[in-house]
Amino acid sequence: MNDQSTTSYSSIFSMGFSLGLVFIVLFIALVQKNLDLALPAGGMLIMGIGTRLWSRASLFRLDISINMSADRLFPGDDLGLRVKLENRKMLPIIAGLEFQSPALLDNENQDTLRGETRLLSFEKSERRWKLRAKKRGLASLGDIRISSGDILGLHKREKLITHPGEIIIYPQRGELQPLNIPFQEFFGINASKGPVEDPAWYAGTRDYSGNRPARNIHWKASARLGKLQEKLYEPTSHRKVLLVLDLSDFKLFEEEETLEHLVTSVGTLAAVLMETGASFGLVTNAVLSGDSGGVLPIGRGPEHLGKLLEILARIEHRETDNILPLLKTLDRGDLGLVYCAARKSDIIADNLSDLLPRRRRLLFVFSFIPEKAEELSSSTGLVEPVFWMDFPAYLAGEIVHVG
Amino acid sequence: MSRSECAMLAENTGKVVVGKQRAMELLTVALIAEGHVLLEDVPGLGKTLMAKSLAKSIDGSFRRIQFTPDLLPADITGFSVYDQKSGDFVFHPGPIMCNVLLADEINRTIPRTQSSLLESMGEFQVTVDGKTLQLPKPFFVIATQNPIEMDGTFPLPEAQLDRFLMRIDLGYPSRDEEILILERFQQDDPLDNLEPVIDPERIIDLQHERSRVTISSPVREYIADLVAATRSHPKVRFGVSPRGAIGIMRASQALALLRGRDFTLPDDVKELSGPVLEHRIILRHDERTRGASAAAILEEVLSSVPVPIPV
Repeated sequence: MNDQSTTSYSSIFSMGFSLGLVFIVLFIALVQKNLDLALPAGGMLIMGIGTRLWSRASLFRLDISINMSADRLFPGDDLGLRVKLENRKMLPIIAGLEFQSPALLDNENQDTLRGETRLLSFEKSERRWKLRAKKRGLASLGDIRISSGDILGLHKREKLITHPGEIIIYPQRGELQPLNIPFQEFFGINASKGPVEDPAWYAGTRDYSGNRPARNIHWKASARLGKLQEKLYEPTSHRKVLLVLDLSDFKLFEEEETLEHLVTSVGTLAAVLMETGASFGLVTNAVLSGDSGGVLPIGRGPEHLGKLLEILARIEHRETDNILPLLKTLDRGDLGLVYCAARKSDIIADNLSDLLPRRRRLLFVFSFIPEKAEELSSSTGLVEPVFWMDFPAYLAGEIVHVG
Repeated sequence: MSRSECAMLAENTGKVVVGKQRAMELLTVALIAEGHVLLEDVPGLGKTLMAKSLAKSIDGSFRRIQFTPDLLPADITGFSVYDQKSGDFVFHPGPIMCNVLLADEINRTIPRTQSSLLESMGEFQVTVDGKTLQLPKPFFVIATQNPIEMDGTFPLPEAQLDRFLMRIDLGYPSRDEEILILERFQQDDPLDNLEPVIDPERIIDLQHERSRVTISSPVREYIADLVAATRSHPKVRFGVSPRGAIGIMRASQALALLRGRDFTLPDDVKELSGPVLEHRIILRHDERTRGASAAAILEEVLSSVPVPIPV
């Protein structure tokens, strides 16, 4: 945590002036030898100076530690926040803290979280709050105001500290109808690369050709037939999908809710892919908060899904560039493509015609239903729409073939 | 006697591998506990060197298998070749017939080939064409995997992971250690000059001695409580198996032997819980997506289970 600034406040004595006034009264009382006035004035002066010094020392050796139960949440998840204050000195103090509840987290409709406590010598105190994640995004506790003062509460000093931790709220998972995800198949629709044999599955035997390693020889079959036989293997199957999230055609302020639905659908697709054991990656031209880039290489597993959801959580509603340069860096012939965008556009058609070899399989996920499906087919050379996704009416998807 | 020999073994390997005393100690513990080790870290940190230096220190036979996607189980266990002259099958043993086997980048091969090691790691034997062959003793597998690359890799199945007594992360050397590495490798490979300090027969004796190290009832109960706590943790899908419990007991005995004691302490169990138990804790999918780690769960478990206090 970073200390930012320290300021001091006082209640009765708006310092300097008040103490000066008391000092003058004391001086006059002493000159006049008026003990009835001098004693209370002296007492007030001592108390004023004493409590001021007390409050000055109050922030010294006052430790604060903030503990969050999680830093990655789904909407609806609870976040436990524990703040511990420790007074590591002899001087008893009053200590308080106050900070704004992050906008993305719900604290029973309270905007500010605050607490105050008296801490005796070497005493600790702990406050707990429970916050609930509301919607996708990046939240932080931001500036935390720590206040402390003398035990009588006459003077108060404050300092601001910044909690560096960020809370990532993933997009909500939605429901999808069964998808025909476009995995590339070597001997199916597209054979873009030479097949790699999968030693897990051998399809049969044939006469040994002599140019393959001897370990491919099927010795038992060779013994039975009296001549060398070699094993034939099935090609390795690929289950890799690249999710493309193109936000260049969104009207950002008018279509914020729609964009959220698209981001949710991409997260849901990735979760479905993870559950089926497929590998997946993401490329997006969205502007992201923090230092993150919009490219996630192909990988698999729940941890990989977490990385993808983190990128989606960081998406900001800002204008973006064309996705093509990014897409070129990651797309390979052996990946299935799922193109997610606002609506059908000539830019998408150009991007894909630049990139795709013939007969590449694609799944489009558009936020807005095209007025006429035929229009989509004729303008980009796409064939039959196969299904509509079970999302809100304006979020529709189609499986289409390019060719 | 045992202590000095165990310590000597760890020290001898330390002559080649710089700054990895902890990892070398754990390797020695795993060897004495008749377990196997999975070294997980990025390339170039000395995983192979560590395995080679251990093999040389115990004067044992060493084999290395580079796991590739097209590797077949027969490439590891061996295969029978039809001899046309004799009209019979002749068995050609695979590289598994050794004392120290380095399974390099084990997650690059398919699960079928990975699982060909199951029998040998668990039962110290291989079965090929219906014939069961005993492996040389001691038999110690050191497997390596790179945790970063995912494309073109096959994650180890749980059954395979569970057969590794320990998973050890190496980590980068410090600046001073790096300088020492540069000095040490400036001219010759220090591995060439490494002399054996113990022989395989003595390792077998030490393994027997390990089994005689006392483990008291409270320590046994502590292990059982720890294991049970991993199984009932809400974020965990599968907790530590009974094999894991046996593993940490044996590893604790080996550590006690290494430190010159003939009894185990709860501290031994605590010290080894990370390398022995962490990889056996399988978290729920949604928790893994949220970034939860087995290490954090284990820490929670260790802080919640009461440690037995000697009366």
